[in-house]
Amino acid sequence: MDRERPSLAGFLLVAPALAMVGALFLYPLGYSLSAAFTGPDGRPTLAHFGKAFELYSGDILFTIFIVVVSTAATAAVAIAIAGILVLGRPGRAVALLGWLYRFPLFIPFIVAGQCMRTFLAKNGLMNNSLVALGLIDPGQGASLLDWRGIVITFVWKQVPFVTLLLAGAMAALDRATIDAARNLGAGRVRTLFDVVLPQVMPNLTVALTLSFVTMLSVLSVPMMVAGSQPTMLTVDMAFRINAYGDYATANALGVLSYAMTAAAAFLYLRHGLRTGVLR
Amino acid sequence: MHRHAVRDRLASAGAWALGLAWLAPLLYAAWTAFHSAEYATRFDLLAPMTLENFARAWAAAPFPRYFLNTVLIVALIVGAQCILCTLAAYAFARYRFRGRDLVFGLVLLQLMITPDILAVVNYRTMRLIGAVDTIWGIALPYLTSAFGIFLLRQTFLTVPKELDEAARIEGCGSLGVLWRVYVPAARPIYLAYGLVQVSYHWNNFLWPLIITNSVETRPLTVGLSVFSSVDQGIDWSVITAATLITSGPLLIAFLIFQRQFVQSFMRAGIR
Repeated sequence: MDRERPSLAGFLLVAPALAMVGALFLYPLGYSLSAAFTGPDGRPTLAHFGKAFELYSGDILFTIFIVVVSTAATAAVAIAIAGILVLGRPGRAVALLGWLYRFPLFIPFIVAGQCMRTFLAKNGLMNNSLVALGLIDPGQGASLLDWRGIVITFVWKQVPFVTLLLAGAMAALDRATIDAARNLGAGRVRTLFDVVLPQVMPNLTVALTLSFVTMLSVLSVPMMVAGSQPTMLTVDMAFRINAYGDYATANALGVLSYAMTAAAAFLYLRHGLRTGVLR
Repeated sequence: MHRHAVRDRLASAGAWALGLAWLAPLLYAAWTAFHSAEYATRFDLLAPMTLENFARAWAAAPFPRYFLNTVLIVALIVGAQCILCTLAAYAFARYRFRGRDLVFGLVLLQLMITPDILAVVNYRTMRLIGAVDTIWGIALPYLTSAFGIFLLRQTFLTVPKELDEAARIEGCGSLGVLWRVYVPAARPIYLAYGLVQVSYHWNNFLWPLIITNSVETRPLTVGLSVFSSVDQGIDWSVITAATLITSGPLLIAFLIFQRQFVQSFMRAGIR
């Protein structure tokens, strides 16, 4: 078996992918890291970070808040849907939910932002429908085109991905443990949280980590759904480049984004090494 | 018994409500696209339907060209990823070479940082090699994927070594073993991964927006952004019609292949 002995062939097989990773990932990553820490005179400096914090400290906290809240809400909704699909009594409602929840998976973020911008506006269909149903007065409709709109759009878009992985993992579990819990009198909710969820935690963790990283890098949604301040770091980076050609501050903001993804990566790797998934 | 029936009905009502709420923004987009502007934010079942918004959207932008560009970009990226990721995953799963763990660690690092964040430096690289405003320039940063390498490596690790050895005894070389043993074993993973990648790159927006500046290279999503610019005025009916034109093919493909897609995704067992 090749695995048992050192091999040049192994390196040659990896080489094409490694060349691409080196040229278009490691080089730009290294370059932007070094540019963020280098002044116009070529000396090391933290001035770009000072400027980034001075101008955008509110947006940094706002970005963390949005992504953490969206990830938590995505987890809650995905667990609810996966739980209904796997533990719910089979019927038309469950079948319909199983069919409908997946649609946003194939909708681009820009289209999701477009849909939500018209749907959640003060005079959008959501408020008009609530008025038509008599649930609110015509003057009471409020626009959700702020942080709530961003969170709603992110959750709407990411829930299908997380639910697919989660429901798949739940469906692959040994039904005997679930049936045993049910036979001993545990309700569906208790079975979900005490028996099913602990067994699929690895799958949930990786799905949420990938969602976290994806949401952190999206530009179109914060730009379209909530244009005003505060906003997310991706919008600030685009603004520094487009309005001022200020690559140094944009790079510093990028490094802060890497730090957030690094935190997610650390949690994922720690979990992977602990459970033996990453061998 | 009565309490159980009430609980079941509540759960059923909850499932209906959640399902319909999830589809509401898309239903709204469809409603607006098929009705005139005066019904864009007003729900009236008897409102007359029209295809005029689609005609106006189609006439306002060179959609056939955008479709062609998008198909070329997606085919190039997914084809290249399948080859490069397969070779790398095979090596990571079945070969031992110096620096393997370090290289695999670098691949995992890429999993955590999306190429969009590196757009500024990658733009400079593309300008250096003359790839700005080309189909190649759009595709290059995505020709290999950490997610693909990781997913396939995990799958290849589950292939019994006896199959590998049997194929070698039968006379297969390394690439023969890969092609005849590992690739067929990972077919469901290729399908799930391929569909996710088609969806991702069909929908990609930021990098194509930065790297393109002509109709000849612009994909659908960038073409769509023209409709939401202030210069065009805000006509929700035309915007949503353009939105449906953009996403329509992918949604139809999903409806056709959804069973295979979901089953493949579930079998992938990503952890």
